[in-house]
Amino acid sequence: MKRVLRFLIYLYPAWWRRRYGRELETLLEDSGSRWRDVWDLFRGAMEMRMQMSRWSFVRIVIVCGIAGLVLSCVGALSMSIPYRYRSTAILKIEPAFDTDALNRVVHAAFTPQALSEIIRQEHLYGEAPIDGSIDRLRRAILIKPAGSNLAQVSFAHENPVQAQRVSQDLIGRIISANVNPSVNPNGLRIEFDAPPGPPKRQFEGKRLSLVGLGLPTGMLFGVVLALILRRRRARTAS
Amino acid sequence: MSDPTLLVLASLAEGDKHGYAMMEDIELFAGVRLGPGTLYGAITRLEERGWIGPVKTRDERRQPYRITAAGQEHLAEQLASLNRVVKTGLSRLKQA
Repeated sequence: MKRVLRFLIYLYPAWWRRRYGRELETLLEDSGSRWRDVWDLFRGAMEMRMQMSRWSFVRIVIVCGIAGLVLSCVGALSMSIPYRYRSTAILKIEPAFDTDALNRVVHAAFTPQALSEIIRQEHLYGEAPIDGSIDRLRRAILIKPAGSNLAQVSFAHENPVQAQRVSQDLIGRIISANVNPSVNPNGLRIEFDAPPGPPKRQFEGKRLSLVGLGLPTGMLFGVVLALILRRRRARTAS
Repeated sequence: MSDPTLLVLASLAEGDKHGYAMMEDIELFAGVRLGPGTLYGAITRLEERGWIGPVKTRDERRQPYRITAAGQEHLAEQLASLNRVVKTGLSRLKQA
């Protein structure tokens, strides 16, 4: 308890601690510790900090202003990132989900030629170079097990209609590739369990992280500026 | 009367005191226990206004304070004002 109260003295401004800190510490020793003193000291420290000189007031206004500016810029930037929609289909795999076998089928189905065909048909990534677009398309495809004999195949895109259409196309290509005996020597059966559903808006982790980044960036900026101003003040005073 | 600055001035009107002595005295005559943050907040403000001042002492840890002439004047004004309020209130209560 005494440690907490002593720590609270450090919340007072340095000039105040130099003048009254020792006295206050002695008072705390003499009067004994009470929990209600924690709030009293905290409030006292905040009141002392609010008694600002003109310079420090200006400094705080500038620091807050810049922090706010950075925050709003980051917020605006994050809002300009388009939403992405993911359309998901379910494949039934008989006799059971087999990662290696499914990987072979997917590898045969998603050749660079097949993917570039999808990109051109759907005009997925505008005028971007085809190699980069193929990588982008591969990253937007997600295949994962959804049960002992089910697999989830999904595709994400900024346009929900295209997301559903491409997802449908991808599923069709997987099923077609599976018919080829050289790709599927074990006779794995793959068929639709559920067609691509209505696309769902993805959790925008990027958006949130950008907004979250704004606060520490603004604060860091504020700290640097406050240090510069403090140094300038010290020079002026000397 | 719960204004900490007035309580501190009233306490020092009796004689020089350090923080803990003021705290004890105020609790005794006003029935109010000032927290350490409130007490030193009041001391800071009173010293800034020139209404109290530190008394030279060898014990730096227990710094006594003394009410100044300006402080006495301010206390007298405030108490007179309070006195008027008390008298008016009491007479109105009697009439009611």
